[in-house]
Amino acid sequence: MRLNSFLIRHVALMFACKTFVAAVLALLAALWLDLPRPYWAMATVYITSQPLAGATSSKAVYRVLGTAIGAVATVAMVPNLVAAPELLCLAMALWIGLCLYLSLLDRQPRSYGFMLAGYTVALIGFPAVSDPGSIFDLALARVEEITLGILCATLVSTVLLPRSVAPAIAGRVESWLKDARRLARDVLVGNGSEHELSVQRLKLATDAAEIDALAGHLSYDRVADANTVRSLQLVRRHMIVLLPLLCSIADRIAALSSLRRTHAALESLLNRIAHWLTNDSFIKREPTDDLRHAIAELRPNLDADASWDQIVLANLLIRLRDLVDISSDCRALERAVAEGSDPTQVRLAFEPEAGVVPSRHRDHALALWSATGAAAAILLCCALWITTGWADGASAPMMAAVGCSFFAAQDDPAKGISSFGWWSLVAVIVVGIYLFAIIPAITDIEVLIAALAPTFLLYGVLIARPATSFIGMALAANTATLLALQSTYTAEFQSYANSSIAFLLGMAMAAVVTRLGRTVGAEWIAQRLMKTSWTTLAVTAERRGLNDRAAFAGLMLDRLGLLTQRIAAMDEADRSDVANLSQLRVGLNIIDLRRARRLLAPSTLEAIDDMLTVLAVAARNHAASGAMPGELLERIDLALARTVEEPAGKPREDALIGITGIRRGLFPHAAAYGGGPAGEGRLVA
Amino acid sequence: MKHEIDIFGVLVPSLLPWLVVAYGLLALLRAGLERTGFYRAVWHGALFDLSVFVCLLGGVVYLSVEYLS
Repeated sequence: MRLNSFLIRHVALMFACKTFVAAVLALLAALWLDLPRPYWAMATVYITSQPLAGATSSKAVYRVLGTAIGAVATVAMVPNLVAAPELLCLAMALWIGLCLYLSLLDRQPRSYGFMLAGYTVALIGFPAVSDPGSIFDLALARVEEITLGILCATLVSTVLLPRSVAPAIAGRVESWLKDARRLARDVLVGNGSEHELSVQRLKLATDAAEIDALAGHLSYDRVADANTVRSLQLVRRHMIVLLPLLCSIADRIAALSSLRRTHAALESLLNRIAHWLTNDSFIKREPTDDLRHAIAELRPNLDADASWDQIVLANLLIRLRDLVDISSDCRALERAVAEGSDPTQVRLAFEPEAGVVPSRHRDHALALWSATGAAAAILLCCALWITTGWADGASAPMMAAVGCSFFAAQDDPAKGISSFGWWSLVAVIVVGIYLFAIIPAITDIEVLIAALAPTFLLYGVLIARPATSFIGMALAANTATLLALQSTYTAEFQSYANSSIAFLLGMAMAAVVTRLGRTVGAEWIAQRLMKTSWTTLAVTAERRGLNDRAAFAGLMLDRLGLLTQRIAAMDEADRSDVANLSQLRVGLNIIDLRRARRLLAPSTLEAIDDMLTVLAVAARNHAASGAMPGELLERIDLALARTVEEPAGKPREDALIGITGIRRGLFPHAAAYGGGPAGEGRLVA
Repeated sequence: MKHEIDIFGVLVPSLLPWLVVAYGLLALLRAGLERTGFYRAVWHGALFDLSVFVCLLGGVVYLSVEYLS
């Protein structure tokens, strides 16, 4: 027990020690096997090691794959084109650009593999240009050393006091659900101002995106228990629907209270649910079925002359029932995680559509633009290198490739590249001290390891702390690479200075070209995301596009995660759209409506289709006009009037709910629906 | 003008030190211009910087050829 608490308190130190052990293991093994560049293995350990085991192995798998593909590409390109250096540079730059493009589209652990396939070409190819005969040996050595480094990193991270990614995710999910319950209570009881609620919602959306990114590593985690992994995946599917649901509930309650139609029975029900949600003890909580029963009792009978507040109330009650179902499922799954039991035994009340592949936002134009920037930076460095005839200048395009690839996913890559460059300068100085002051006095490998230990342990601690992990990574990877530890001491000042200068020049070039090419920042990307979301909504309304409810929700939530990271850079109207998840909610309602409308009478169907067409046009024009046209509101009311006249039944109810949701989502400030067909609507018909 | 400069036995293209000198001048100039709010009138800050850098580099190289060789 005491050991355990010690481990938890000193997680960073433990990680540093583990990584150093792995790095030394890799270095010794590489020296023993007589590999030409043992320091690659050592650097690899520092690049792939992550504090959580699952994250290390996912990175490891894709690093090996990417390196192998990149090595093959280099062996194919260099010997064939070495006679024409300009052509070779062009081919390599294009290849790296292509790989970067694919990697930016993917945004999952897999994307690391694409990126590595790209810049491995630069790492092997550029230094080998002067000696193309050795290219095969060099490529082979690189693959061998990377694999060796990864084996050591994975071995140590899974065997020596492993930290699985699953408990970390379980902890995050638990606290997320707790926050969500608190938000739900505030929404139901009416605590907190609108501003506070929207801050809470945004925090939940950001956290959900982070949990999603962590969970991407789950399937690579061999330390984690299979049951836990399955439970967590189920919980995540529930989490996706929970957030828009809470927004809808808040909106309906606001609508009812603005109509002054909140009666005592509803309020006591809301209080009961709020109490039930936040009560953590399993025994004292009200049975779920009682709540479901109470919800069903309140449900108004929607007939031909149903009023607007009755429709809204019915809508609210259905959402409340979903909330109760989802929340009880989440509790059950959380218990399954805690006990490690099989989640398939848990009976779930709420079943999101099965077989959903979570879809993700992809921005082809932006990915292509970044990729072009990387290719341009590499070509510029090549031009400088070839025209000046600088023999050691090969590091410049190499580092330009690495720098552009690493930071391309950020909003402002130039900032990341320059700070990486400055930290590389620190690494260059550290390496200089080692090479010319310390290592010459060392004759044994044991003493060498002891001499390296303090520096690399410090780097490990830096990597383990989230705030400094970037600095630690830059320092560790660059120190290990530039130190170029080999079986014999060969350091001379000349080659050290040359390669260091070229190294820094490459980073500088990458920063300059990126700064020139990427003038757009977070603001532009956020606007672009909003525009794409409106287009998706239009496509949904046009009755082609995504038919799958959960896939749509997944895609929109993925975008929402991207948007919340850039919330500071957005204007007020967009920000409130994001905070209310209005696009997501409207989209879900459109999908529900489209499902229900097939069973309605032809005239109603026509009214609904008309409305959806107008909606699609309005959504497409939203970016330009920034507001929804009044005509759409008329169409919605007309469709509502037609639907109310339908014979009672499930299709009519579903359609009513859907139209209400769309109306509230797009026109939250519009006056209440008149109840019954409006005079004008009847004339038009 | 020599094509390579000897720094403690390391031969580097002579352009390299001039790049560093020009960068230093640019940093000084930038700091001054930023203080006067000049950059608000510039359409593409990074492009402007690069252009100024090229001019400075050209000037530095010209002067070095005039006076150092």
